Amino acid sequence: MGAWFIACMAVCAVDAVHADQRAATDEPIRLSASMDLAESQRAQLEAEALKGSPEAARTLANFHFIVRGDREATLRWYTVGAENGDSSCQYALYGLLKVEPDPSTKLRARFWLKKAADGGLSYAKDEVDRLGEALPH
Amino acid sequence: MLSPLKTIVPRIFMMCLICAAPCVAWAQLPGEKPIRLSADLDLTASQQKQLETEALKGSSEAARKLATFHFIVRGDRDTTLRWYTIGAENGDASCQFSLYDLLESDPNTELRAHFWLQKSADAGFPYAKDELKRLKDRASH
Repeated sequence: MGAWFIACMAVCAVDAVHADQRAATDEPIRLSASMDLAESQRAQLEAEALKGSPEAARTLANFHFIVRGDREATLRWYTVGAENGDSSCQYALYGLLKVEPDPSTKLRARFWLKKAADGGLSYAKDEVDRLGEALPH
Repeated sequence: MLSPLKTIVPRIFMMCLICAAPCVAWAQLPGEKPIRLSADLDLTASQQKQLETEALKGSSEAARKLATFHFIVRGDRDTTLRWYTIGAENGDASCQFSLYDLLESDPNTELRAHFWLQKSADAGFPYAKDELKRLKDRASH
């Protein structure tokens, strides 16, 4: 739920104004329009993310999550972002992994949650508090 | 042509095996039993399970042991990559360097390989620092 929540909040915040403007006309409203990426933009962001940019990885992950609905690509780029040290990617990765049935994946989800909390992300700290003793140290 | 690094990692493992196993090898009479130098890297199923749990929770050492086991004993590249990646994510400089070594030969993963090489060098791993210097020297010529 956490990753969806973050992603939806991002879309809503960015597109609220545009949506109002479009509603005045009769155009179809697509809230994720501002997250669209051209092929060249994707290629550029991928190169930056693989070199270590947290922002590029997060932008790509959000694109694949919200715009394309591609779970594998979303996981890939949230993982790259998490490895690049981005707390929100770490928390989003936690959200995606914790619902997997495999206990190993759930265990790794907690690793990323702890990283995100250590990085100071408030959602992650709240979740750690909520989970309490269940979190591995 | 192979880069000098291509020979470094196999040499490291061979050195480990050669240093760790002479007692075992020495004690065996010719023809009595096959000598397997990687025997001391073997893991039982319960040891593997325990190490996997520790590695997933964040242990660098556990991830490194698992990766070495799958690399040397089992020769399973996919699983080796998995545990070197976990070790690298856990912050282990030698796993980061080994991951670089495994990824850099593939054009699809070369860019990410260099990310891990830089991480390893930043953490002070000597082989990574040497390799980074070698790459920079090569690029400047």
